[in-house]
Amino acid sequence: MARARTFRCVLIPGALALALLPAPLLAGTETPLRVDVAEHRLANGLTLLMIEHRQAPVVSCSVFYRVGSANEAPGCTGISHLLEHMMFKGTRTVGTRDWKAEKPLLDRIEALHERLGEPEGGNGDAGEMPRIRRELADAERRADGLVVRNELWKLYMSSGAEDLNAGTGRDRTQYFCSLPANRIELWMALESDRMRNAVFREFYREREVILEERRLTVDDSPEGAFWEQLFATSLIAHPYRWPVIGWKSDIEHLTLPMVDAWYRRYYAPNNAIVVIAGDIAPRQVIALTERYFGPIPAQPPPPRVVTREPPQRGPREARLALDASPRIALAFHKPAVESDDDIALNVLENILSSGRTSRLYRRLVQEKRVAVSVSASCAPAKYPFLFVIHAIPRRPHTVDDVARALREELDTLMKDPVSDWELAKARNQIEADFVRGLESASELASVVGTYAAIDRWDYVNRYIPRVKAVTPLDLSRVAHDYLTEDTCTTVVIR
Amino acid sequence: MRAACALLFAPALLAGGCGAVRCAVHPSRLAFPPLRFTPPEAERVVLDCGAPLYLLRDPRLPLFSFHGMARAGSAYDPKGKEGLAALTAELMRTGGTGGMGADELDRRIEFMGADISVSADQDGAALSLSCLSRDTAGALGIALDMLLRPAFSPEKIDLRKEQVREAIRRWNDEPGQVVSREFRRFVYGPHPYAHPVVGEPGSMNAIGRGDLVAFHRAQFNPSGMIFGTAGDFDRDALVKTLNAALGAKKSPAPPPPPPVEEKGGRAVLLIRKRTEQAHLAAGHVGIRRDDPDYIPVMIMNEILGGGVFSSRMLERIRSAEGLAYSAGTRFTADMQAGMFCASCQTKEATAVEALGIMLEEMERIRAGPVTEEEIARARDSYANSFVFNFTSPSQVVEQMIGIEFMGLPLDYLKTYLAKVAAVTREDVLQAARKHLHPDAATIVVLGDGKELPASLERFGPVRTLTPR
Repeated sequence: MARARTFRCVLIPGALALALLPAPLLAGTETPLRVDVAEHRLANGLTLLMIEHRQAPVVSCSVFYRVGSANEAPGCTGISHLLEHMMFKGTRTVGTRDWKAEKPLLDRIEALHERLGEPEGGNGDAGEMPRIRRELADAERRADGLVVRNELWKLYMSSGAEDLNAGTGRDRTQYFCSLPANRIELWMALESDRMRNAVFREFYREREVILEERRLTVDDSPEGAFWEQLFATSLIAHPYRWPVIGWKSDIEHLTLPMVDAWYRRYYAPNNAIVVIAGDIAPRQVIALTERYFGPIPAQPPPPRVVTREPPQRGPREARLALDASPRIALAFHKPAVESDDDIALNVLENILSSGRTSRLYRRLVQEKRVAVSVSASCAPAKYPFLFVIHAIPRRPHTVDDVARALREELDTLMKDPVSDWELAKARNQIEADFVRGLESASELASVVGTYAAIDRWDYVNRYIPRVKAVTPLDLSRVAHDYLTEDTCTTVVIR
Repeated sequence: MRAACALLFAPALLAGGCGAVRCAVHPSRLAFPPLRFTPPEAERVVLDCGAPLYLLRDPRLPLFSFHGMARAGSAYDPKGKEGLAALTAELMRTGGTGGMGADELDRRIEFMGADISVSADQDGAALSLSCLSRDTAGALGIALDMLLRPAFSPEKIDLRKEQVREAIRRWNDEPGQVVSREFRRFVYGPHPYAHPVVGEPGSMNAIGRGDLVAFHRAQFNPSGMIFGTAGDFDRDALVKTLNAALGAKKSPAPPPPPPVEEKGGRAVLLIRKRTEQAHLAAGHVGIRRDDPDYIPVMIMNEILGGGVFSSRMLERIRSAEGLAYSAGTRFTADMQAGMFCASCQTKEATAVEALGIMLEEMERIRAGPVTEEEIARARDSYANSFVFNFTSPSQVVEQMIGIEFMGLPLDYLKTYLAKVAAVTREDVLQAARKHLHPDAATIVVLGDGKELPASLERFGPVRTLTPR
């Protein structure tokens, strides 16, 4: 489906698994094939989802927390992502040589940082600052001596972990890795430990790392800066408008107590989904999950996101003056994941831009040759979000030429229903992609967990019947209702 | 408390009692049952034309895949016609066939939800088909037509050239792309591994349809290729179909690309671009894929900078100093040579410090043996993750194609674990001394700071480079 544009990872992501969508397996037969998911609920509210999958003796394990940048507010944007980084720093047992000796040093370091962070002309006299800095350097040096750096990572790697990483999105944060099937208990031990006992050592250095990540992926990247501007312009109220990585000035002011409070509020078993896919025995997985995650106490339910994006009353445009080649995107508002209209827009996305026979590729790239590439995206989201069309113009054609050509195609879409052939092709492609996705346990875990976090996991099994119910008239209607000029935001680099 | 808990561990599992928090058993103490695993093996048959075919039948999913690898990478691009290999590959897919026009082919492939691609890298070009097994006959017929009878429609050649020209026009937009491209260019010098697979500015103007026809004829002779197929298929019928399509004419495979000459001596190249971060790369020509030191070199690299958070470079630059988001090293290995590259991005104020650490770590791993802990972790990581080489039938087949294509022994996977287990600290030290050359490293720095040229002088004479 759509790329997860602002999915941020502790590491630079490779190919992120969101591309795949489910469908019946035995295409062409009447028996719809499903992803068989076994569900188990712990007394503390943790949801466990299991998928048996026996291609190889491997197991893909993930924990999803229902928290992301949508839960943030100005002043603390980027806090979910910073927390995700901090979760790799260890616990009271992992990452330390001696927790009892380390704890007072970490407290001291935090107290000194608070003193340094006090506004100038505050309580302390100015002459104190050099002394505080010296003392801080000394405490940090002593604390460093007690750290076992990256021990969590090293334990996983020694066990042969693959795809080890984490990612923060707008609606969810996920921690994932694949292991040889005999090592599942290692995952249970490490993940349950960091759900309850995480220690945010080396906090201020990691904040610097994130500022470097922001420079790399947004500030110095025309593409990153372009997408950031797109969300900030097309949304004026809803928290999807700010970047998952956060605004630079917010990141600079995030503190350890803020991150700790965020952790306590959102990283609770009743706000978590564990997904285990692969060569597993469900009874054993349930027993291990009960034993390791069962004792973690539930927390009060986190606050709801109440802000709704108001209707857009007229077109908006943003132009970026960057040292970069031209590009253009059109963004339209679309409904949340559970809406049938969102399914129809997914089909429309396929018809508009999937493959060389898609409408936009054929018209803009092959026939008019005003662009070299064009793509639509309709990322599933918990709250109403955006349907985006993004194109790269071909010189000497300008972003205006591309905008005109796009508008013509959208008008055609509203006037003439799509052909039966186009709709059948879209269904076939979605079906085949689903069957391909069944080859990979990690892909299955990622998709099932994502939908569990933003909607319900059985979205995956309801998706294909819902796609099949979409008619050409539905497509014209959603094009007419959602892809209108008045609610369009255009972002360009000229 | 810890000891008591370790003793109670197994009974606790049965009772479902003892929680993670109360026990605090260190996860490094967990013991695991042995992994029972017999790797699936692809059958190797030789087709009538002399080309090997790997087969792995697995009907659990209604999927079919077909792969073919040819010596047709950018290393075979003639000088001045850089990008010919990539353009030929792309046009085999998009330029129509003797039997059918380009647009009609696209309609058929996409209606099936099938996926066919032909793409080139440095040494090879790979044809790859994936479809639902109910569509195998139609999709395989199309893929074989693309391989054997591409039509190279002039209109589609034009379209692709325009796309390539536009891609080249904007290839200086992202700083990371500029650095990796110019680093490769400088390290390989006159060798065809130096130029981007996609081509060079102006090179599209020099390529005509005749060039594509000739390149295809010379490089995609089926008898010089390696094939594979995986998924749900009828073995005998498939072999018959392929023999009928590919024929029985035997001719020699194209020669391997020319050898790479290593050059010595430090070079520091500065690329001026207005950015907030300096982008750093340092390295040199590396080993061939069939080098007998390949596994010790990979283990050494894992410890130096390939193992992400388990590596010395990231641990120091990111975890200890907070200087960068990404920092690490890579050894890539192609048929005639590879590339070693350490890279990192950091704000300009700390560029010199980070570059200093990168070079220091390269020196340090040559100066003395790695620790027991480091080598054990690297070996365990390689050995325990071996099972991930076999997670899908098509992966197993593609892997065997790659092994044979690179000229590795066909029992490579069978001896792999023993070779990994045999790597000692001394082997790692020798691998570092023999294959890592910080003194002769090419250093590429992209940035804008006024002080950069002067402060980089400590690493060698600085030359300013204007990217193409």
